[in-house]
Amino acid sequence: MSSNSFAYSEPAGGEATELGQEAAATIAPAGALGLFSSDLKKNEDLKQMLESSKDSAKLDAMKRIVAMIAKGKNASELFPAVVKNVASKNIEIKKLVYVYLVRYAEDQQDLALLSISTFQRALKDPNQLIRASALRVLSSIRVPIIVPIMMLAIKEASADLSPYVRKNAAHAIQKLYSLDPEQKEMLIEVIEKLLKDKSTLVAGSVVMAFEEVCPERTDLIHRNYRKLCNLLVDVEEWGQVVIIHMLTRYARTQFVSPWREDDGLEDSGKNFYESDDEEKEKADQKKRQYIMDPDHRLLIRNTKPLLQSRNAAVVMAVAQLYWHISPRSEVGIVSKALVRLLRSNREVQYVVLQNIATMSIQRKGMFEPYLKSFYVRSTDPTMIKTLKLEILTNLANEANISTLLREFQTYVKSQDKLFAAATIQTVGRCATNISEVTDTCLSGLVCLLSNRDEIVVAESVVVIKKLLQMQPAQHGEIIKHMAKLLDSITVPVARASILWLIGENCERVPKIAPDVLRKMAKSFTREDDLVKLQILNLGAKLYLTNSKQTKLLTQYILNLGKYDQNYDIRDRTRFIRQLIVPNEKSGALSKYAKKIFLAQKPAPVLESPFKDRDHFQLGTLSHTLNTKATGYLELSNWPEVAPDPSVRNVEVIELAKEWTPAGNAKAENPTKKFYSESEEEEGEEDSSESSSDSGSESGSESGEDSSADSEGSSSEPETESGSESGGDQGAAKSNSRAKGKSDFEDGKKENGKRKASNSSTAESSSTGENSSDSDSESETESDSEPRKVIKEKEEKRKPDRSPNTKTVSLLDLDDFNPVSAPVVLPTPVLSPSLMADLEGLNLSTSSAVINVSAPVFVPTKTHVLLHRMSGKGLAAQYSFPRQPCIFGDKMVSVQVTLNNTSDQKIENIHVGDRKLPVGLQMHVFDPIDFLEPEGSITVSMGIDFCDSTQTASFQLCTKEDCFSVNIQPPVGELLLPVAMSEKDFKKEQGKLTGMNETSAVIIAAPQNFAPSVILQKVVNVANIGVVPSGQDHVHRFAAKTVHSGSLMLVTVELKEGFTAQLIINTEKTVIGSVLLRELKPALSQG
Amino acid sequence: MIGGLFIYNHKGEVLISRVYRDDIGFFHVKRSNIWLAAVTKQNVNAAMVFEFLYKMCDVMAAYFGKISEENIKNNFVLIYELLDEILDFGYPQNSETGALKTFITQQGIKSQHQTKEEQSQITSQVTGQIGWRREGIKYRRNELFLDVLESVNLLMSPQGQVLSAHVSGRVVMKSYLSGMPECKFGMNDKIVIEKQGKGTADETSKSGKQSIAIDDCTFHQCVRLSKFDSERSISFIPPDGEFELMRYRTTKDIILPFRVIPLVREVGRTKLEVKVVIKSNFKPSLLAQKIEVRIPTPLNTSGVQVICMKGKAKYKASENAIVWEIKRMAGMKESQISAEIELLPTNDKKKWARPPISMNFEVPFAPSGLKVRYLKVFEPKLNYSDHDVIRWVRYIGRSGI
Repeated sequence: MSSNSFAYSEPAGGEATELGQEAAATIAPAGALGLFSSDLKKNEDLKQMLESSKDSAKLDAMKRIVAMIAKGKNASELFPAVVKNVASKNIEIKKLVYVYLVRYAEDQQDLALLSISTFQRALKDPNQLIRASALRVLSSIRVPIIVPIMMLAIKEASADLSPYVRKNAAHAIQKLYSLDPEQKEMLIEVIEKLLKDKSTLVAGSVVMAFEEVCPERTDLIHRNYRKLCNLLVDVEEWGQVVIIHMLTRYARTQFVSPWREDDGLEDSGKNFYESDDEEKEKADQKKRQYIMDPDHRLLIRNTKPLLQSRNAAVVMAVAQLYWHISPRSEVGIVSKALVRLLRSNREVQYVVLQNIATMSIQRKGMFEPYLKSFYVRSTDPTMIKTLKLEILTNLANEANISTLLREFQTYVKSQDKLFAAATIQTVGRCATNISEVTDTCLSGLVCLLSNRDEIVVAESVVVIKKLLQMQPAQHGEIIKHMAKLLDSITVPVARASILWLIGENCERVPKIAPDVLRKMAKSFTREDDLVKLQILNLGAKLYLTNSKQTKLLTQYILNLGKYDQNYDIRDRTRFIRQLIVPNEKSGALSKYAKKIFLAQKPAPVLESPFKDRDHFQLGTLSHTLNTKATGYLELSNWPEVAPDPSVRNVEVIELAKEWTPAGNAKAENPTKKFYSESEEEEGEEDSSESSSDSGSESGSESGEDSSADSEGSSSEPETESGSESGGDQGAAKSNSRAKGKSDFEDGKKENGKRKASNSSTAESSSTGENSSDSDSESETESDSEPRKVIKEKEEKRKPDRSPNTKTVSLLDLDDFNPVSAPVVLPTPVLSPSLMADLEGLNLSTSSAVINVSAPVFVPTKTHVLLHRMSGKGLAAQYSFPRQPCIFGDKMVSVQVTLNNTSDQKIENIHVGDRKLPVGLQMHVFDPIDFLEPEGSITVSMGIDFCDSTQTASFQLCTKEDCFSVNIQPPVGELLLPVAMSEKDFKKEQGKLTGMNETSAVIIAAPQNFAPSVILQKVVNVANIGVVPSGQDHVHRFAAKTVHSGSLMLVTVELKEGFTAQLIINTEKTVIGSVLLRELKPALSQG
Repeated sequence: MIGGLFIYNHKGEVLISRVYRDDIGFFHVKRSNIWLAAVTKQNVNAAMVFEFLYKMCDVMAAYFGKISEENIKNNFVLIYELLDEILDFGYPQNSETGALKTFITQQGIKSQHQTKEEQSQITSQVTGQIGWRREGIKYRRNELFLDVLESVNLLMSPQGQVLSAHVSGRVVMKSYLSGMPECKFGMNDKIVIEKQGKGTADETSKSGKQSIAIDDCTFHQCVRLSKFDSERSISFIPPDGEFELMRYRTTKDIILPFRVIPLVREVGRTKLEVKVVIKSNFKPSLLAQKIEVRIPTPLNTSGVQVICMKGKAKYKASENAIVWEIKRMAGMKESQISAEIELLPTNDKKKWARPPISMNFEVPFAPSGLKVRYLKVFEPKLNYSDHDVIRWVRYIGRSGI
């Protein structure tokens, strides 16, 4: 057994620690044998100590054993003696036994099993710390047989009441996975469950497990995405790092790119994006428009405070998140935090500087203000110096180059020669990058040629050589200067470089080159080998270009070279002689000698060594090492079209019930009934219910007294009811024939009543049918034909109708007609006088221009206003009930649900200071005297957002505290649905073309093409009314903005090949484009 | 994540090793004679590993003082326990010393004779929202100490121009407060003061530097970041005992407490004359302490003669420098040292590079101009008010880093 264990353990230990091996190598050979024998003896008395009844002796023995393990000695033969103590009452002994077990259980699996029952017992311990530590050790024992036990333990622990135990369960997942990857599926289930956990303690650990076990399963994240974003600030720091990295990857797969393609490398955008608003407007004018997914925004917003974290890793993680997923214009805020990290330990500094170097290649602007922070200190280690230098080079531009060059001058004088050499190279790079200073740099470098230090001179010459190679036109002067320097410079490398330069450009300096050769020929024997070789080259080149002057000189040099001590030089001499001097034996090559010697040499490229690093995710080990580390997960490219954002929605209805019991009950009722109702039930009842509902609503909402009217206005709620029932039907996806029929009959009845007068009803019923029935469709068609005729008639009649009517109403009509179409068209069938009456009564309605219809029901989305953590027990959610606001008709109504999660009464809840952008107005709720523990209350507020998505910030105050909260409206909530006929829609659309029209083509999954699905998706995004449509491939929606009442017309036109055209016509182009952006992903996702 | 953690002594002997998986790839940091190395081949956040290693150093230092081979050998059981707690399967965990100390004590683990209460206390702390403070702390005297520690960093060109200067400061708080007090800390942060209205703005213009512009700051985890974000107020429930409340950095209007004026004359090839004058540049009523000026000498120095008016000066051959120490020095004073350095003649033609003169000091004010305006304590449950708390505030300005 023991020999067996030896065979196991030795390689295991060796593999595990490379350094350990090294260390062992230095120590072990000295007395391996002696050590071993003494070990054996020692082990005997250790055994005895472990057997003893005294805890102190056991403890002492265990300490010694653990010390042996630490030093890499083998203590496996003590296993039986140690394992006995696992049940020890003394926690200290226990802990040490655990350490031992974890190390050796793998080798002695059978014996290790003895200890399992102890752990199983401990897993049931009432103390959560003991449960957790038992699980930790159990999962650390790497014995395949106990996999099922571990699995069971993990499952149980994941449902533990204590978040600490659940956290440990999350850790155990990774351990089990590395032990037995086969368990993956089961583990994913546990991960899924733990991801739903609301404790901040668990969040970090489970994401670690997720990253290790199934990083590709982004689908598990969807529903927890928002929760994770919101919890992030409260998670412990190490967890934050992991979560941020995971969310970065997630965001790259789920959201569309916030980067504009024409952004290029430099941030030209930065100058012209001053504020968010401006950005939006600018973006508007661009053809490509981008609206950030609110979830995307959420992530970016919630990570921002973490830049203030004390932990450098967290700051780095946030920085890389901003770099990889935030819009280019916002990345700038991380630079300050990164610069701050430069104050920390030098290792961290190194990592940070590397990342900054990569960033600064692409975005100079980010770090330019901090230029001086990258100035090198004489006390910095070389690795940091060179990195700083690299960054300074990247940051160099026309404006700061003179300061930088001055700084570089100091560096060149540095004692650290490597650094000085690197500085010279840097100067060379600056010179090539910034053409303005090329000459200054060159002359500066030429000055350096007289430096006493060899390395500096050599480096300067090399750099000058490179620079000259790049712009071969204008360097005659410098070559002459360098030729002069030949007399004074002694460093061989530099002399060789100069000679090479002259040789290469001998045709450009025809007078100097032969003279240089002459001087060199004189001193040939005294030169360094390196220089000699270059003299030979120079001679050869001159011989080829200017043989008249230099033939003799070259031959003299070749003769000298022939008898040189160095065989390289002798070889070279022979080679050159054969090649250039024509004789009978010279082969075909000599013809090409000139081409060979004076070929155009490619200029060396002076570029940053960090150039290629940016394809690694910043901040990772891979980036630091510039090689792929194991488990490196590529950041995917942004998707062209964002996947369905609704996957991140959490079960909203449940939530709504939970949080807004009072406010939403009413709104929910009709659907609930609708869902539960059997299909046989009368559709009419349904529609009548909803019609009465909407009727009363519209009455109260807009304060119209139109309901008093008999005919014309009764057509209005009916219109709505029609559209509504159509919508509801769509939502319910009912394709029942009976339902469709009844609906249709309903419509027909109406049609019968005022046949061909109001087209909307007929159309609404036809929408219903399109999804449901084919045989009724034929009827609709037949029905719609006469309507078309009438439509034409109507249009003809309209102009001549006005003189007939009474003057008061007429004026009104004319007044509002051009602005936008009245939704309720006076029915031409009615007698003129009645119509006039009607219109007289309608006066107030027409002043509102557009009639607001009841919203199509969608599940309410709740947003967190105040988290219970930050609110000291007071939690607040807000939602948009999509009802016109009772406080003012320019306001959006907001429902706020307040919960008291603390165990004390919260008193005097009210709204404190408000910080509203210009123009925004707010109607707050009345102060709430008190809120009992576990109590909740729903209140309404009204906010006039001025048709913008600006945030309304205010303070929610209790008796003791004030909490700052924000409400930011989704663009879809800034609208009120409008009922409108197809014709009016088209007419209005005709007015809103050109600048007022925005459109996009979307590609959607086939299942999205059902009318009901489209309807559902559109109304989910925006509070918008359905316009009955005659064509089944065109869907129209209408709404008006709450503040200004501008029309917002949305058209979805389905085309072949599962594409669709999405058109929005509105005066409010900003809102329009924002809405387009939000609708696009909603419709395109599967 | 982290595949393993090792602690080595300077000879490369392993003192502590903990292997989680078979990984390679190194991160290491050095503390005195000890190397801490973490290995991994996974794609981790590189900064995280270093950060963790330093945290580990801090935790160990908090437990047994200086990190030395001796100490590590003596405390290896403790280190294993700590490792168990703060690094689970290579994933860093809660590394807050305060919290760790409650259940891993210097005497090893507390025995199981703990009362139930204590146990529940520990668990609630480990698992609770406020991981850094336990409930039921009681003091007879509610006291707190605030130290504003600042270090001045200066980058100068060889020509004596100040290229950049910044102060990195720390606010360290030692709290002995009962219960779960809610604290609010205020300083003369420019943004806050400007926010508070024009009344104070007039004052600012009158008395000059009333407020300072903080470039950027970080906080202890107990500070509510969201609150700072929205209203720039620093509120927190402090951990018991000593902790670092915040770190900050300023770059504007820094009072440089000293000016060093060196004069070097090379007299022939074997002699060097150095004269250094330091001028203190602060209120005469204040006293600077522990002043140490380090003047580097060439490598081929054979002898040095020093004359100084104040303090003690000595040539330390091992460090290649003249070290001049002054215990105390009042503001607006001047002091001078002159030295004659004898050099051995060498063949080396290289000119002496004149490395920078360094200086250490301690001054009793904050060079950045930071002032603590208030530190309010609220404890809703226990009966002591803001007035009963005794507060001590101290400012220390230091040199470097």
